[in-house]
Amino acid sequence: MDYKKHIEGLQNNSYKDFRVLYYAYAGNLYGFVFGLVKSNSLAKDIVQETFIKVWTNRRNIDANQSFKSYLFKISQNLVVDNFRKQMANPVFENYLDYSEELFTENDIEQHIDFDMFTKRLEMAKHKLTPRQREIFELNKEQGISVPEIAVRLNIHEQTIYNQLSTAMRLLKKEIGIFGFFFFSLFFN
Amino acid sequence: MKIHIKDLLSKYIANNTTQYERSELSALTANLSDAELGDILSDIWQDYSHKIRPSDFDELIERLQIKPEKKALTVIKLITRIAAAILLPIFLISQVYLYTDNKKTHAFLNQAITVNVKSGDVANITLPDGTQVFLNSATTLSYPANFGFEKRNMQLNGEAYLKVSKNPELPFIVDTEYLKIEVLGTEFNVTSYDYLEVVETTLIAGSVQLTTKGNNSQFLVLSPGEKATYDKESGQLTVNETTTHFETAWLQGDLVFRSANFTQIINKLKLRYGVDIEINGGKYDADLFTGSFKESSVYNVLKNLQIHYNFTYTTGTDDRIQIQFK
Repeated sequence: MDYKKHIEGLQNNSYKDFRVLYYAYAGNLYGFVFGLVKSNSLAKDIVQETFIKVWTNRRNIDANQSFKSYLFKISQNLVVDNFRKQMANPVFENYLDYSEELFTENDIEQHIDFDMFTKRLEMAKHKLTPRQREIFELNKEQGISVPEIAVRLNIHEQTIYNQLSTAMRLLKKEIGIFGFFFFSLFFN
Repeated sequence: MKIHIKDLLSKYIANNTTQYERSELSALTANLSDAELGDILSDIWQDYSHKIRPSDFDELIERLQIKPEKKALTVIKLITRIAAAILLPIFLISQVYLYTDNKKTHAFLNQAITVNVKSGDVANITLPDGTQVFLNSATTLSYPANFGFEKRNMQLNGEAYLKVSKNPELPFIVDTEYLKIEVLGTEFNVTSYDYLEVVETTLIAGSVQLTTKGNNSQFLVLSPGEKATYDKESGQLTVNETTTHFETAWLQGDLVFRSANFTQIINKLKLRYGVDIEINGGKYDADLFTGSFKESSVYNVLKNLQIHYNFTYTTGTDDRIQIQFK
């Protein structure tokens, strides 16, 4: 599709052309960014920021170049930063493990996104004992290793492993129930 | 290596990685510079064609505080808008008024207008369509309030002379108990009193159609100068030539009798002069009387009738006239 006309319109402050470009590319960019950060709120923010840049830099856009390439050029820093942040987040790792276990389909629309997962995790954590919760948060959320926790809390490593596995089983069960509830709402 | 990372990333974006692949990806991307990672992502982006519900455009517009451009209004458009702004409330209010008013109008139109002429009186009315109606004594005429809008119909009990306004599209219909008279613009006289055994229709000008009511409907068209007589008892409808002046003599205040028996004459006198008359004794009905009186007093009429019929009359204290046959 040729959006040259609309890019030129955009350069002349055309609201209409801006809207055309938005609806042509925002969904595409959203899908790509969501694939990387797995979070609706993050993906949405990045898309919004990107199109704000499109508007504010509209006069410098080259109408003869690919608009799709241009979009990534201006969003690249945000995308890379957020992707790295997510990859470094232990909870995100939990989330990915959890989704792999629960969802086999490739359709990301059906997945609980990372935002939803963290919300449910917070709720599920109320089912844990204070000690289970403490160990879970130290290890799975802050990424502190089991030997280090053992030193900090002055308990046996094996106790920590036992507590962690109990906590994980409980949480999976809890989030799973929410997950089931979530799906029954949408697919019944 | 770059291709391997691209592969892993593509699989990751599509939620298609194993736990092992994810830790591999995590380790590999951590070692890439932002620019290197950006290049790989850019490659994947070029081939990425999925579209997922876009975030809210309105929200974006709000954050940017940009508004849809407005075209300059032409003078005509401006005037139209101002006019619309003024007229719309007026229109709405008037609609509400008209609606409530319509309900009233409908209720009014469903009502019948009745003209009741008492004994001893005559009346002259003009209907909404311009038709002139002269009503004889003791006559009731009623017509719907929407007379002349969809149809022209009226009900008559008594005697009336009608000068119907011409309107070929709206036939004029006079409903009596026994006859239905359809008119297109004409002058005619109708006599349809309860107490008379016959219903008479005399045509002065134009043409009328008569249809008798009941099971064996009879139909006839009158020509000027003809009088149709319907006998209530036999149900026969007959046509005779008549002196139209005689038929409409009552219009000039004349009292007209056409082959009337004595009871009919007295009944007419009662109506015309609004008096109470009582007949006592004797055989008097066989003798029929035809004639007209210009008298203004019931006593002068009675004196004239005494020549034809053999009777005496007295007036009591209660204004009741007593007729005594010899």
